[in-house]
Amino acid sequence: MQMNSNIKALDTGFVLRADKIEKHFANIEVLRGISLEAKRGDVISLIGASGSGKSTFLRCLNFLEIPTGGTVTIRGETHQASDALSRSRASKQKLRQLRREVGMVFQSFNLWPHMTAAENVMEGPVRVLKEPPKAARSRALDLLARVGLSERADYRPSQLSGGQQQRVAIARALAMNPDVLLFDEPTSALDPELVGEVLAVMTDLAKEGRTMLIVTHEIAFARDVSSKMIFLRKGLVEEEGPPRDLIASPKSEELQRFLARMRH
Amino acid sequence: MFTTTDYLPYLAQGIIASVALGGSSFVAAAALGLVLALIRDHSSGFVKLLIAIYISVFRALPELLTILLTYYGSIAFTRSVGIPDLSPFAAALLAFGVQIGSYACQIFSDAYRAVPRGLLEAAHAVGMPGYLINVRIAIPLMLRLAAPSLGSLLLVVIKLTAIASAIGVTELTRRAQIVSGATHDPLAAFGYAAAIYLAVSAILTIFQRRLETAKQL
Ligand SMILES: Nc1ncnc2c1ncn2[C@@H]1O[C@H](COP(=O)(O)OP(=O)(O)OP(=O)(O)O)[C@@H](O)[C@H]1O
Ligand SMILES: [Mg+2]
Repeated sequence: MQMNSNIKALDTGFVLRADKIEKHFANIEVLRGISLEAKRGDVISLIGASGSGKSTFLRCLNFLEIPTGGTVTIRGETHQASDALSRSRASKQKLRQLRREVGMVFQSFNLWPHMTAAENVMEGPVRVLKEPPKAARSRALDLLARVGLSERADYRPSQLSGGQQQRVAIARALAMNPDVLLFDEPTSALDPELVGEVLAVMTDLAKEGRTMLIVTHEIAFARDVSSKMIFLRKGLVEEEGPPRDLIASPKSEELQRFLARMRH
Repeated sequence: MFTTTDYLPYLAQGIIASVALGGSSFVAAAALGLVLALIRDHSSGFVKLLIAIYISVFRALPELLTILLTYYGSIAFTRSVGIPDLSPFAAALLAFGVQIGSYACQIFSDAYRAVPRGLLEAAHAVGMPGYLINVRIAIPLMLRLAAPSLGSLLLVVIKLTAIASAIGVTELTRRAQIVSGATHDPLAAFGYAAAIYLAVSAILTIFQRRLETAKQL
């Protein structure tokens, strides 16, 4: 069988591939070459101690943080630091294209406070995807209904609980029809009684076959929902595999210790 | 002999010039300040330095001096080029616009820095281009954060218009001076002028409160 190497990137079946991502701030090496591949429908959880580089890695995937080395490939398009640093029109366009294809949900929600829930969800579709406002609003209402917030569409973020705000933020990310969803500790800023409603929405998304990367400290959730678990330590992948295996029989001493700490 | 009350309509009309000059100076200053604050936050060292110099220069200069320099400077310029002189009102507007613009620039810069970074990142994360992030997210949030300081600035600007009398703008304070000359009752003339300033300030304050409570939602 012959295969043209030029179309290989399109043909690997990966939605997202990160290749040897490196990041240093001044002289601190935060990421020291992390690679990852996500197939359609993969749910990958990232765990690791505070400061291990989980957020930085996630932010490098949509270039909110510009990696100092490595590449991100999505939909057969490869992105690297030099593109993101260039100020040319074409590379800015390419960067925005990447961000459109990657949805992100932040720990602190980051909803725009001067807009209602529905307006937050519509903003990207109307301004970036150039959808007509009417169509975008009706889609926003559908998405809000899916995260259980149809009654709250015209509320401002300040009138919503943390759990509700985070569900709006998930709807906002979904509204862009992204190929991959990134979650950076989506429940860490929530009161314990509000964590469940957000995890339930995420579980539904996983069941729908969404491709997701989730940084989380909710080990039980990560075990149940993800197809793969990655343990980061000091900017490197220390251990990876099926979540049950990692949790039941961690190989490295660091992961053993990390899991023991998590159980408390 | 006329008493001060006979001159009340004349006095009261002076507030029109004060509010017109103060209001237009404020609008010009706010626009200039907003644009410079945005440029400042998106540019490199040299432009930042220029804006910083502009701000410190006008922090140091008394407004009265700026307005006198602008007025006589503009006359020297127009005479040498051979075009009509700037009116005192226009010269005052120019001087106030530029000087108050530096105060507004500082207010907007502080407001920009107070906009949570995460809200701008969220806009980048959906793929919005820079100018749209400014128009849709950064500027509306800056305006909300800057609103209380801008409200105080507007009141200060309306008071400051009194010094435009130095170059012959017959606004409220100048008219009070004229009336006191005619009636030889300075206390009454300036007392009425003070009452009019207070009334305008009260109206603007109530208006600002309304705006702020409306915005809370
Ligand atoms: N902008 C920055 N400048 C300098 N150092 C940074 C910056 N951002 C992150 N770091 C450093 O990078 C390291 C990794 O940070 P990161 O936020 O990615 O960790 P994390 O695994 O997400 O931790 P946590 O669980 O606390 O969220 C930390 O040591 C942090 O201090
Ligand atoms: Mg983090």
